[in-house]
Amino acid sequence: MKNGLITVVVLLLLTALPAFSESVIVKAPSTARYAESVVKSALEETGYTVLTSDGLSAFAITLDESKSLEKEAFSITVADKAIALSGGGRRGLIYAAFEFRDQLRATPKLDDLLDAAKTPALGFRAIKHNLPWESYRSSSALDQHFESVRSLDYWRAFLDMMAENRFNALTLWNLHPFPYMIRPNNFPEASAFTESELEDWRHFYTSLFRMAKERGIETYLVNWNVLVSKAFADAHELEGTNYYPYYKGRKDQVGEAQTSELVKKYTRESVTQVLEEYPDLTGFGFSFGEQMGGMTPQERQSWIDDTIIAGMRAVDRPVKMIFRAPFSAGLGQGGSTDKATETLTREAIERLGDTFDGPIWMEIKFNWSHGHSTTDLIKVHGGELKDTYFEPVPENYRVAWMVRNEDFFALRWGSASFIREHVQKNGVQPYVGGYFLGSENYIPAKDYFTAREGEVEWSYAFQRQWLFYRLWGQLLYDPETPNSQFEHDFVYRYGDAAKSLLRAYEYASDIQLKFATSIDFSWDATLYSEGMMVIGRQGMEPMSVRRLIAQPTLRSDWLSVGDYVQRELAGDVIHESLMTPPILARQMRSDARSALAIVKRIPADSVSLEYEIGDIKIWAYLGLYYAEKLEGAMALERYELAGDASDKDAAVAHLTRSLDYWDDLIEISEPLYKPMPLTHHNPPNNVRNDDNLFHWSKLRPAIARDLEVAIAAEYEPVSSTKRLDP
Amino acid sequence: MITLQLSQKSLRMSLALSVTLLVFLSFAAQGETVYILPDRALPQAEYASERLKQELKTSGYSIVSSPSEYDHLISLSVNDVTLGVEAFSVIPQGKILTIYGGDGRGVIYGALAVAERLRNGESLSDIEPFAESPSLSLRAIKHNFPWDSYRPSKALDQHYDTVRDLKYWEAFLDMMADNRFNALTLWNLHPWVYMIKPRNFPEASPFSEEELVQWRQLHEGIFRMAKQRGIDTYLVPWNIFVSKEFVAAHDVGHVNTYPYYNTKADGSELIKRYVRESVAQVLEEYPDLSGLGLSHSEGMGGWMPEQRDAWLKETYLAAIQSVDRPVKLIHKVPSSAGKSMDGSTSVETETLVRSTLESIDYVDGPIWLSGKYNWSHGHSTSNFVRVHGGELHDTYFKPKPTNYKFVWIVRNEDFFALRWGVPSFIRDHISKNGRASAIGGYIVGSETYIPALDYFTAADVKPTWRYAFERQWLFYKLWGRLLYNPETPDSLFAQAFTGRYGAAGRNLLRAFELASATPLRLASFFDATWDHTLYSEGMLALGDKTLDYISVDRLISRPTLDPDLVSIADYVNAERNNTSLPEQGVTPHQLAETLESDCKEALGLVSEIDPDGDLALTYEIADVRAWAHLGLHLAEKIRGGVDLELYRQGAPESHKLSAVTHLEKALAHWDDLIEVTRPLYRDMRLTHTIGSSKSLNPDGYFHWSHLRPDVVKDIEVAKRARIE
Repeated sequence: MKNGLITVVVLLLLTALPAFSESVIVKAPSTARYAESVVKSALEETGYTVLTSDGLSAFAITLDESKSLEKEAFSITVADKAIALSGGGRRGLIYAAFEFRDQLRATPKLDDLLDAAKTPALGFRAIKHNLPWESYRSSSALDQHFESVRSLDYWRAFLDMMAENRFNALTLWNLHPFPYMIRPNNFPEASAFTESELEDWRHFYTSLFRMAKERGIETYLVNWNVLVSKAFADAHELEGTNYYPYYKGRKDQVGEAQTSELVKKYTRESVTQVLEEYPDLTGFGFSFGEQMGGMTPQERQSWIDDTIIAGMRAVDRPVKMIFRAPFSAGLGQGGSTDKATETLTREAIERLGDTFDGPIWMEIKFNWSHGHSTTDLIKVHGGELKDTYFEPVPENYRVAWMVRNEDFFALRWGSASFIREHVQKNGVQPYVGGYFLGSENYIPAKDYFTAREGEVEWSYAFQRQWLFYRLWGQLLYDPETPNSQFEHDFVYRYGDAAKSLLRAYEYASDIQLKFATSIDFSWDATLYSEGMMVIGRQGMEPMSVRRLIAQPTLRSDWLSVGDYVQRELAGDVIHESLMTPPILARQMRSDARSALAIVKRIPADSVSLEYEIGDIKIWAYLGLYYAEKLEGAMALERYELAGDASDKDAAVAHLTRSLDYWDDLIEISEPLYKPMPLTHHNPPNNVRNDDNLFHWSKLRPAIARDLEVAIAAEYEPVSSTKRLDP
Repeated sequence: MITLQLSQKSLRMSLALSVTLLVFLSFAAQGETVYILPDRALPQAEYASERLKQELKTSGYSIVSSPSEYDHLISLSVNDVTLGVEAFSVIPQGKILTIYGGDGRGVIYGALAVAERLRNGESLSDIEPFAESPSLSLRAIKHNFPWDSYRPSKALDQHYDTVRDLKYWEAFLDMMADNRFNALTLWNLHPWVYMIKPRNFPEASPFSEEELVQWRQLHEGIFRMAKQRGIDTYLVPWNIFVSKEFVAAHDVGHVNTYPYYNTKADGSELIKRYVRESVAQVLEEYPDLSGLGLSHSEGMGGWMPEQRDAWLKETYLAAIQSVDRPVKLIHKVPSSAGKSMDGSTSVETETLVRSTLESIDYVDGPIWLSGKYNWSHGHSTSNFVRVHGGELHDTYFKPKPTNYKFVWIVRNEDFFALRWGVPSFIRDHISKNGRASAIGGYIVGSETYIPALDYFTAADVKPTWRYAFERQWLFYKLWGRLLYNPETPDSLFAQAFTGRYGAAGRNLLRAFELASATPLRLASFFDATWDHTLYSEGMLALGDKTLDYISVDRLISRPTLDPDLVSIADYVNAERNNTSLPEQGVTPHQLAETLESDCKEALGLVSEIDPDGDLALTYEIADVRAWAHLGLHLAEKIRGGVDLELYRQGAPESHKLSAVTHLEKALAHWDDLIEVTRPLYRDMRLTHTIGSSKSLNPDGYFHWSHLRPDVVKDIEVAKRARIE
């Protein structure tokens, strides 16, 4: 660590030398303090002297908001020694400042600074960040973040990261935020806190919202319904368990909703009071679940109209709204869609007209809980989405795709091409306004992954995943952002040799995307890509060879192992446009080899870089492992259907190699990663599972069983004939 | 007789049953705890919850302040999502009873509706879901002040102390809230100096600092209490008026001060400034006052409508624009289209008013454009005939107005002593006149009467009521509740009687419906215009100059107000000339028939009620009887009048004899009327006795007994009749 630090300092001194003695004046209006501070620290970091008062200076940098620029747009204009940073509004100016910083980091001489101008492609670029109190699920994987998330230092860092990546909205999700923020005027019994405890919470939330505002970041609370505090439920002896840790109706999720008028009043008034007591809070979002079992879609809509929307409407200031697409078209809460519910929902939003500071952001989960899979929209929460929300083009709302990440928390990820393609396919329609990025089962606060504690430069989990946020944020703002910009980021962090890491991440991340696309997932815990795990009867488990044979894929143009082998044995011609398991295996292997080849050439001369390289290696070995498993599964299926002993041998050979790769993966990951609590280990109900640690090493016995399965496989002609029969 | 005994028996049984039920119900409630959850942000919630608490305590519940251990929780709050303004809904869910209002008023109405159910014997656990929403937006009371009153009269002066007392207003405003009236309009010639010392005209004030403080407390108290109850307040002065002290100091407006009321305009600039500044200062110093009324009268004689309109723009409207607060506005339909103040209408004047209204975009709208329904005698027919001054053209209605609504002033200058209540009349009225989208509501009240001091009751027992309006509770309940919701069933009003008097009260609603139709029938049959031209309960009308008993001769010759009725003269004329009568026209005989049958039925309904020492019930029964006898008297007089006129127009002698017989019967009914009313009613001051000029008898009294000689005269007239 110490050595690394010295190297960085020396490096900085060397690169900064040409500018060392030059002085700069920075002029900014008082409304642009944050942008000004970004510019000044960039200058100081590069070695320029920022003059505090007027005097002779080599450069003059002026920051100002410009009326001629569209909202969030910015420009940098260089005229000899005068540099003008202009922004469309406060946010645009902040982006100009970061652009200036990034240029300076790439070329540390003001003389070499280039003109720049950008406008946003998408107006809404949000982070979904869950809170560890009243969390959606109850899990030590979430609880462990309490201290970090209560710390304003954490938020300062997180919000800085958001601002520099041009995310413009922070959405904060938990079951029931109100009693942490207010003592409801008419329901003081709802808050279990003492006055001084509540004061601490108030200070926390107020500061968080203020800091976000300073950085040009909107803030939203998003809750679930119908929920109350336990203190409220106890005071009024409510039937049911509509409070943390119960996030779903108790039993079969039907007939459990709490529809009492008292709860409606409490909800409505709490929404109003929160928005009134926190003037820097931008808006509110709401869910049509998960404790709305037994209600019809119309009843759910009416409940929301009467409570949250009415509460928001009652506030005498501009308020923005996130309207989440309903999860269910029936009485249950499990997830379903239909045209009638979509029509009802669209009408409900359109009825709001321009009551709110629009557009209303209609949140729809892109490919349910596993948006990091394919760039084509296959399903939303509950199933297929019709075009009701899109046609005709809505006037008062815009769709904001929720791209969830329930797939990689430990491993760094970054596929610029996936994001660009995603935005090009799904972000250009007139009804689309933007994206949400984030997780339900993961909070990017405490670093509970890193085994080499004390040796790394980051403090928080999200800082490990800097590339993920960098790519998503910058490319949502401008999908044309070239790869060179991200390569500069690597160079800035790790030196010239690290430039090719971007490409290595492309390959590594592609393995994850392909794995996810090959599985017909649905809700959060149906898939966990970085563990190559799926949900089984006993909970999360590695994809077994038997399951893999039968496993349907997400896309209809991807063939499952079982389908493919049957067609192959039947002599069917398989159209070349289809993705088959052999092609998938080949591509995964190729991705893995390419990634490994790149990182092999990069000297791991810092612990941080060791982790970057380590993560790429882990992804690569996951790819190699899975390619062998795919091939093993195909061979096993061929053997069991056709009885050719060489197929059995092949299966055993592939699965042996597969296990070998897994062992390599364990060897790479063990020194880097601790066993990590994983929310996915909770069963699909309100029960908490504290036996929830994940590490690749823990999966070895299950993976070794696949080999035993292949060794023990027997050809049974009768049953296989039957199986061949259509 | 047997039927009667049976019904008496069943009456007692049901009385016993309801007593048992009440005892049982209050026993059930005894000791049960209620937590009232108000909406602390809602200004009206405290009043709603206080009223509810009182009723709960009376019903045996105890109120607790802990939000956790309770048997019942009553939640009061606004829900403007599912409910419109002033609407409410009551939703019981287990031990939680939710009362939602579409706004603060709706919350009050919901809470008072629950209180009403408790009063009628339901327990909290019995309450089923129910909801109501308003039919008309403005449901106002016209209430005159006895200081600087429109006319000088002891009938008005006598209320001074009562109306100066905030306890009176508290009771009156409670009554208004109970009956869902949402606006109190306060009328007198010149209110300003009672409320402020004009900054630039301190000399205009008649009061010492100390006196003014008392006046301020009064006005502030009225406005504040009204606001708490969800009631808007308006001052409705006349113009151009100033204070005597202003006249003395500046030598202007000599005829523009109380007691002048129908007088010449004084266009002095100083008066304009004084009025403009006074209006603005009142609006500033009384933030709880909701708004003002504009009158193009009565001290604007000698001017043309344009001058009046211009004066109001320079004074009131300029003042409203100058203040930094929302102001609501009532604009009275001008009572004159010419230079005199005696009453006339024209399309030109209406066009002028409409254009002024449409230029006003600075008030808290809609503006209420008020016109008198059938001039000063709205309690007549539900067929609209005229406003003050004459015909109402369609100027105000076509094209459809956008920033104002028309509201009907339904005046009562016809019954002050006798209790009144005809729900079918009010329902019919609203159905015919209150449904159009341009109609915003009603203003109900009197000019010649103030419902404050009870100057009627002669009983030596101390009554249970304190104020005059409390005697007329049915009048207010019917108007208020039916304006809010014309579908309100009779059963609700019937329950109000049984709530007050137990089973003994169960026939009373029907009895009032039948008997108190009498003044409506008289006023429909006997055409009247301004205030003093008719006083129905006294069978009095303005003669040449004085207020006189309606003699048979006047009854014969008088045209009807209601075009559906046929006057005696027209009827006899048609009979004699064999010409046809208007189709569906109600003949005098048919009217007499209806009166007789209704009044007899009413007498039957009350004949067996034993007030059993209940003074209020004694009065209720007596008033039904008084109306019935008055109605029977009128029926006989109509019949006598027809026979008399037929005889005069050449019909056989038998008609004369018949006329005498009918008029003798009429006298007998009058005597019955005196017998019923003499022990219960004092001689009562009556503004109408002023007659046609303020110089006449301003301090007159009325009692039916004093009119007996005039009634007798009719018989003499008939006996002396000759063929013409």
